Amino acid sequence: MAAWIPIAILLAGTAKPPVVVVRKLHPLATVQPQANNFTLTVSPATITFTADNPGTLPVVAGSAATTASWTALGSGNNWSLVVQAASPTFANCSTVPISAVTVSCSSVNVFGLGGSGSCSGSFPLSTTPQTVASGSEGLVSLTYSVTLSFKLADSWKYIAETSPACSLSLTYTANVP
Amino acid sequence: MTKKSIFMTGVLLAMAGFAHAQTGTTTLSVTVGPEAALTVTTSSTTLATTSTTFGNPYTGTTNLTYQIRTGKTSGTGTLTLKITADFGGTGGPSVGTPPTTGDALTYTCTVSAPGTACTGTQTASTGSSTPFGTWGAAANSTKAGNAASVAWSLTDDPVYAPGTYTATATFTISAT
Repeated sequence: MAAWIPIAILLAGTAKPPVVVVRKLHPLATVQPQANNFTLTVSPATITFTADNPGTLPVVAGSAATTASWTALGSGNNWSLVVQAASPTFANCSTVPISAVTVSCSSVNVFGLGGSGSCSGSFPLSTTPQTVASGSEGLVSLTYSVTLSFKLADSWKYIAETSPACSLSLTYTANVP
Repeated sequence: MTKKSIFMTGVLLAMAGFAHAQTGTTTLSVTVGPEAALTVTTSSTTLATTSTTFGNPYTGTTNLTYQIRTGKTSGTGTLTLKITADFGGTGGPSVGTPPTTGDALTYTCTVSAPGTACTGTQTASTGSSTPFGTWGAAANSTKAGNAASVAWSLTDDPVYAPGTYTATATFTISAT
């Protein structure tokens, strides 16, 4: 993508008036991508579910909403946030499938000039990367914030396990090309 | 001089604009508690006999559906029953105070896997809970529930006055 950026240069010490130069920045393919130039922060680190009674509470909400956020300069491309589970079942609880967890995006906030974003629909968790939210990058430094929630479908088919609790690691990837 | 300054500024902006992909993680932690539930599908069971000579007891069957999940390593499940309201009326049968020694409300149990039914013939009681079924560790029912039943047998004693008598059996299921 090409972008126009007006840059004002003041030539000090001369009698000439300020000169305004408008220069086109060419596509950035000549510059190598920097892989670590922003940090994705996910909070809180752990979401807990207490599945006590599938008869009276068949769907259990996670203990808190999760927020994934990062700050990156935009380039006019599209961005996305994807999530995937690290394994097909919970550790310590092989009877609990990861598909019992539904991921929902509740809000997307893109702070900056020209950026936008929207939530994808809810989906069952999978080891395959799935897009939680996506949108367009702006041209100026942007802060992205995506809020997610999780729900667990409880079942009599699960073997009870209270200690150690069942656990599953999720990996989020923010793609900001 | 001016051109060089502009060029350097442009490169810096360009490099800063090259965001890529970054990852973060969350851990989902689930505590699956032991739990059990019971539905008595035969809400009213009639005990009847075809005998006219007191040769056969009054019999009937109560069906239940259980749902259970027990702990993975040391969990257990227990199903019991108790007569919480004895047959009323004068001259009728009684679980707590049988009119004739030997009169009894007895039962046999059926519990589908992974449960284990009580063994042999049990005698119902108004004073304490009596066995119906048990489950071991790492047991779980289907989502819809599994079947269980109790087959009742009440002594047909000639001393019973003709009439209709009603008792209440209460089933209790638990899991750890």
